[in-house]
Amino acid sequence: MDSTLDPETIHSVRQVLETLPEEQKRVLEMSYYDGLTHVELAEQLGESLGTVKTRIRLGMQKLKQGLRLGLLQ
Amino acid sequence: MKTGCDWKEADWDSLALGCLESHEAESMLAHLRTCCQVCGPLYAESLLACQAMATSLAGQAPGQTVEDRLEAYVKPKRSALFLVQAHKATPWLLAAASLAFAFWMGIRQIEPVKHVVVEPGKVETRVVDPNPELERRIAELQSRPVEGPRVVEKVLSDPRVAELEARLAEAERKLALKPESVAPSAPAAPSVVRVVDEERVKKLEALLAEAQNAHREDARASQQRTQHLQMRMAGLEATIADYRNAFRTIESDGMKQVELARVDAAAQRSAARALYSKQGGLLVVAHDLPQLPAQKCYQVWILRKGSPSIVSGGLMKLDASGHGVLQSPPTAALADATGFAITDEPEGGSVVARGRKLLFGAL
Repeated sequence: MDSTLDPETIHSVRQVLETLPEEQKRVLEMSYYDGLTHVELAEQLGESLGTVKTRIRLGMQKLKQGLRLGLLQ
Repeated sequence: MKTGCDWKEADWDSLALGCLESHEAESMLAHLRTCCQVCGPLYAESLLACQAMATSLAGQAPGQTVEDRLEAYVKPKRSALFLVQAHKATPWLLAAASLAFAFWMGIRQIEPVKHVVVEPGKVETRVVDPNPELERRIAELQSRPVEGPRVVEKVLSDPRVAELEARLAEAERKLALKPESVAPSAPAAPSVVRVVDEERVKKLEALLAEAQNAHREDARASQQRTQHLQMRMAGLEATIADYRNAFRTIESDGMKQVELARVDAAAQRSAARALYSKQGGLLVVAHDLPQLPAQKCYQVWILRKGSPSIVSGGLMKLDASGHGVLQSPPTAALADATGFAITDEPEGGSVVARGRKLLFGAL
């Protein structure tokens, strides 16, 4: 991907990642890095589909907040 | 800006992460291709968040599955390309089939009668597949005085004849249409003299030339189509990048925008838009800019109240379709900007604007 992110933004997002609940962080990493779909995530984690989607939504919301903060600094 | 869209609540986060099923992803991407001004920034924000996550976790990279999936979203599918190629090959296959059929029809019309040289200077016509009507017509024709030679003798080693006969035999063999009465012409010794119908040779040559022309035109059309698709793909990728860049500036507080219009005929039908804010920086998007020679480049200028009154905003690169994007970080010059301009400058840019002022827009 491109290099439009400056160090401040990356730092801000990294801080958010560190404060994410472990289950939200895990589901984001598994979906993005392992390429798993919602259904596959639910099977591997032993959770319901709704739970997986909720964790993704909440995790991404926080990441985007960190992103906005980083961009506005 | 439009604020409502039925797709607004769609799961753009999951699309950016690549964890949707393919049919879901396809329908959402189809909506994005409509350039929805509501959903585009939402998706861009999700993509940027994923990018930030990837950058923040050093040492990790997206898996092959994710890369394959993301590539499939933005690149034309190989199977679709094969379909296009197969479709384009169809006229050639039809032409080949028509040619073979024409060969066969020619045999049907010609082969029942064979011209044989019985002695030098004397030609006799014999019926291979006896037909009363044909025999009657041949007898009638033979009874007429001969005005001149209607057939020419040629040595079998003539490469043109040998080549045509070989192709004819090959076409007949493939189609399995050859009647029993037509025996394959065995290669004769070069010293043997055979009779060749000159008109038939010309007809076959014309058919071959026609098929070859059709093939060349087909290949040319395929090449043009491929180039068109490549340009279209580059345009779509540039659009996605624009969304990402635009997001930063659009989301910042106090965002302003200025339309840049043509002020020099050299700008042709190009135009541009500058979006800027004190905190979000500057984003200039131009389209239909003419391509410049290698030793020149486009440069964006910020016009301001303070001193210096004109400050460089950066160099703008163009893609093959004349689409240019420039994004520069926040600068003090943007705080009191009064307008923007785009000029053509020597390669590497200028400290002071010296080139032609092509596009200009003021607050």
